[in-house]
Amino acid sequence: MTAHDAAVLARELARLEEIYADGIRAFLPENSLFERERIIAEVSNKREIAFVCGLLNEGENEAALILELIARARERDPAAPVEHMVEEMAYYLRTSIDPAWQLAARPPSATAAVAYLRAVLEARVSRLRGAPPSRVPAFVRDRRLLERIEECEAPASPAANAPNT
Amino acid sequence: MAGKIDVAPVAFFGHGSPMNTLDRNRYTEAWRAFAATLPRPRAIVVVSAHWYVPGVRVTASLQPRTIHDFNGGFDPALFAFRYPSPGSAFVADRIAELLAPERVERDATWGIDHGAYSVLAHLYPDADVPVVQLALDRTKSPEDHYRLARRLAPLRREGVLIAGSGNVVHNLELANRLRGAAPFSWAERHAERVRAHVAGHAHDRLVGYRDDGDDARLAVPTPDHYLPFLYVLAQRQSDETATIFADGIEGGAISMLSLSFGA
Repeated sequence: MTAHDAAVLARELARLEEIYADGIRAFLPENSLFERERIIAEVSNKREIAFVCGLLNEGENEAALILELIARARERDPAAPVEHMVEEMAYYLRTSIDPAWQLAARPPSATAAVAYLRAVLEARVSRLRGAPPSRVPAFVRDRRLLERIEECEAPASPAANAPNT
Repeated sequence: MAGKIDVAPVAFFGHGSPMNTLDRNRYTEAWRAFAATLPRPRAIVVVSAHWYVPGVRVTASLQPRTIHDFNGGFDPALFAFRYPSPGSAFVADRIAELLAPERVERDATWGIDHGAYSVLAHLYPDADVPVVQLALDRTKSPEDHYRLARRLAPLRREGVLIAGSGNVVHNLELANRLRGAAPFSWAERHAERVRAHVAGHAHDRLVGYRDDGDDARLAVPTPDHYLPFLYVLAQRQSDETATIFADGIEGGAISMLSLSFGA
């Protein structure tokens, strides 16, 4: 994982935190006695609450947790080996979409994974806003979306990097 | 079962289903037969696949609770099962001392999980040997786990049984889909590779399993169940051969390979 990828991951994880809060906001009833905003502000692990609210499935929650661990490891030590965690994270994310998707054609990518999580979460929160109260819409899961993002995130081939002549 | 311990054996158990806690089958009978050959340990340190968390932790409770760390659908008797062995603050401290300068958190919230008691219920049914669990730090690479585990070696001379509990092949996603099926060919190949590398003392290949291609990726899709095996492997002395006391593949994708060194 490059330093640039680590920076992108940290930035996107911060964005995920905002989407978790947004999702919890959309999930919980608006009630002044309930003090929804205070609860959201004080909850330290918004991802787990988003998971409990049904905004993440088990594999996605695990993948998001591992992405946080990767970011933390790289923040502590920019040279920390994280490839083993990226591989594990990608397994959880792939099988969260399709349990039979055990082997991937491309190397796993933390930045692709966080981009995928952001896309599906934003879609779910948006659907939740339009759904009847207390009804969590069916999960958006999209293998083609993850594959497309991974393709975009994959290191460019030498030919693609060659200067135009 | 008797005798003074010079160097305590170490053992890895392919624990399989949580129901092995209560069941009597060829695996649990093999574990019992193995235990009958062991000198009584002063304590047991269990590295279980089911305590996989960020950071190195060790159970510090003197009366660790029994943790039913599995989802519903199992026999209610399993949820009622208790393994009331004592803990050991002394052994917990000793582990922390041996692993220094690694920071080891004394954890009073975790107890004995099913990775540990599904095996211990057969090894020591009276639960009269102190048990300490050592967590798997999920942020560490297999190489780092192996290096860390090497530092536990003095425990063997202190009469402590080091037990790993996991599975060298563990793909629950595929096993659940094909319950009762014949073993997958990749599962058999990976298990055979493990046995061959153990026999050939090729620890580097066992630690570096991620380089073994698709068979290894399918057999070890996540490291949690494989890493306890590395903790046992790391204790092996150069002249010790392995004794395989249980073996087989369940559900097509769960290896029950159980082996020891120094027994």
